[in-house]
Amino acid sequence: MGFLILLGFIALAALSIWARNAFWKAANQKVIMRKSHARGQSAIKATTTFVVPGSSAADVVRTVVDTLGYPTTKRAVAGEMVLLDTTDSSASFSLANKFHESWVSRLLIADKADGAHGSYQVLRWTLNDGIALGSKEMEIVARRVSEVITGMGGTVTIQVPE
Amino acid sequence: MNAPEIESMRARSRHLKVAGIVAAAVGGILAKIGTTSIGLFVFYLLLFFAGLGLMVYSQSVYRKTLS
Repeated sequence: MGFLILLGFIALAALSIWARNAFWKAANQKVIMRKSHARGQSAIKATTTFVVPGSSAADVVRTVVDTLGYPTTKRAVAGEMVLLDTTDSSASFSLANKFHESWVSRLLIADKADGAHGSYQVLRWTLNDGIALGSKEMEIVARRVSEVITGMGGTVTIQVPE
Repeated sequence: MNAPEIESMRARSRHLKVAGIVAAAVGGILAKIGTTSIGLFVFYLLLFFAGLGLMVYSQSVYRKTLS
């Protein structure tokens, strides 16, 4: 009997935590932070595709990484943009500190006959009460990547699925 | 903005963020502990919200360095 009562308390506690989280998630997404939620969702879903004629994938990766100039080590407390890893055909960026990654994005490029073809998109993100963390930084970094590619003579297309 | 200016602004945003975290933590803990003085309690709350404000401001300073 005592065991059943304990189980009941645990179930009640879990239910109340779930209800609280569901309430704040819905309230933030639909009422309190509706605009932030919409911006965050479009930043998460956006895919930037591009073609840079006459350039190799390695050139494009190097130019983007050098121009953005993000450090490779995470700070202890302050969440800042970092370059997680880079190869001749890809680079990963993150808004992170030593304990937590708010989001991770990837620049992926392949060599084709007419130049470098690639894409940039957010791969992983974190929600806090239903709202994506660091969505403004997502927008800024995506815009900066587009600017660098355009500066190299590339053509950029941004797709945001409904 | 050139590279030294960007690094200087980033350092400023880091210092502001740490100050904000400390202020918010101290204010929050003291307010949670509580006091019999309403004036002190209001001060703790002000400290807490000032810390939160500093954290938000530091992030906006950092965002300027990304643009």
